[in-house]
Amino acid sequence: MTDIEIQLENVTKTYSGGATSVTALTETSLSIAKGEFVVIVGPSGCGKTTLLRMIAGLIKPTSGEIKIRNKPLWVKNAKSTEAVGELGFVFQQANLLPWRSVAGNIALPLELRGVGRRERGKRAEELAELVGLKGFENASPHELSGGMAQRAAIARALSNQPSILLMDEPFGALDVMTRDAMNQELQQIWLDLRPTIVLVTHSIPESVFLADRVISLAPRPGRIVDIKDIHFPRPRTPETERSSEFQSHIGQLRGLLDSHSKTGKQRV
Amino acid sequence: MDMRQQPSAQDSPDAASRHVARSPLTAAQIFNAYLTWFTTPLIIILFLLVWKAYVTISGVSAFVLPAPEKVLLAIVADLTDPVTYDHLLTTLLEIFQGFALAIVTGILLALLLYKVAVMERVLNPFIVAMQVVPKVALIPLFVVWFGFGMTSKVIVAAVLAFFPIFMNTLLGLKSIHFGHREVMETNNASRLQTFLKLEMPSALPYTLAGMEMGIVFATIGAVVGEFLGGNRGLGYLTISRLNSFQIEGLFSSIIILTMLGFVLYSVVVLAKTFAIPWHESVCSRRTGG
Repeated sequence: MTDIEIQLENVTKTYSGGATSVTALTETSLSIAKGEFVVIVGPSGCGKTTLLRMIAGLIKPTSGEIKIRNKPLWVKNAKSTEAVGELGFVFQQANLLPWRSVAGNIALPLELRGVGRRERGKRAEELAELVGLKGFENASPHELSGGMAQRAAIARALSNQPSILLMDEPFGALDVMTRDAMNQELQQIWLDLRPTIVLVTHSIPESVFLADRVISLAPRPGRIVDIKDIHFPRPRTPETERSSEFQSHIGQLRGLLDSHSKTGKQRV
Repeated sequence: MDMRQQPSAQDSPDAASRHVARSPLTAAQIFNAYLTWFTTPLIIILFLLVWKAYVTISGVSAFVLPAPEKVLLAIVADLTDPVTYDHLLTTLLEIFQGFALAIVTGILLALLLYKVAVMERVLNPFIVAMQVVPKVALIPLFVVWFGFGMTSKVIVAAVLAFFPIFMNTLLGLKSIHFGHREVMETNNASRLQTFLKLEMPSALPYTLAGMEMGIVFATIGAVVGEFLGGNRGLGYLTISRLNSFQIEGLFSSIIILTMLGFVLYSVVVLAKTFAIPWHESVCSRRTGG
């Protein structure tokens, strides 16, 4: 049987601001296997980013439990450093530190973990090559385009060899052509290194292209409404996207998400 | 072909422009870059000519406005007199010590207020009150407390330079990009690591901007302090010449003070370009943007 890497048990997150409280995610249970590529898709306000940030330990669930490799992420009010050590996070923005070179940014997680200078340099070089930034190691972040900056952010998230890579709309700020190229490369990185990936997006085609499993969320309150297995062989190519099966997956997901959102009802 | 070996063409326009930026400059670009090399001396010469013409035509008294060449001679005389350098050194030491004191206290207090949120609430009314006090009015008090020697001038320089450094550093610490903070958090950075690798470099441009203002204020503080008491320093020299009606000498000491202020300010700006070459305020100027 496959190992369970991430487990959510009845997780609820409520944001309370004064008199009103908003339930971002309600009673959600989910198991993600080691090495799986899971994509979470849904409209704004469905709690998909909240879900991802809870897995990352950036926010604490109001109730329920999250386990990373069978160990609770939160013990009382303290984050388990062991569990957090397994995570790499890619944000919507690249969030590169502007005073560091590309290599310095990529190696930051290693530096924070006390890895020596020479080892860091070597890893940064390898990772720069992996994400297609060879030759830009000494460049400054402001010299990079949006796509290149996001590549550096991915390399940074991979630098401490996490078993889990969490990605919050990593390519949302990029143009469509760059985005397609980045998706192909992300797939290749995943095939090479086999981390467990949980990626959040609002793009249905992106979710079908990348995922082993697409998890659909609906808003008010945020909850899982569908889990769909995607069985296209890897590596998937632009050919895959043109197949009728791919298009039918997209149609099904779109119909599903529309039926759960208010705007969808108006459109009918 | 392995497309991952190279950044794909569609997302590396900046890479292309980097090379364009290094191509030979056109004549117009050279003219633009060196424009002030011609205009600055030209404007100064024009100013001196108007000054000379006014003095000649209007017949204004030499005790009110001496001719520019007389002032020039006075400057030359001052610059060849070792006594001037004694005064200069005194003023310079006061500025340095005051400025250093302001940097240390400004940064430390900003850190304290940032790290201990309750301190900011407690101290804020007093900080605002201290800021609105016309600090130059406190100089007589400092003379009473610290005497007519250098110490009172150092304190005045420090008090004036403190506020911009303190306020800017605090603003910088509060303006740290939230996304950067989360990068540190997802990597389980300790508080010390977050301070050294994120908070300090993030706030540095703000501190340096405060220092740019601070060095000017420290100079003002030292000179005004010398106006009011003591018998050394360029400020004292200026006042003593006023009292003995050496108008050309008065002009000369003002101009020497101006040059001193200009040099000190330039040193701080230069330090800034070296300390934060990555910052927009530095790198955009370098590329002429």
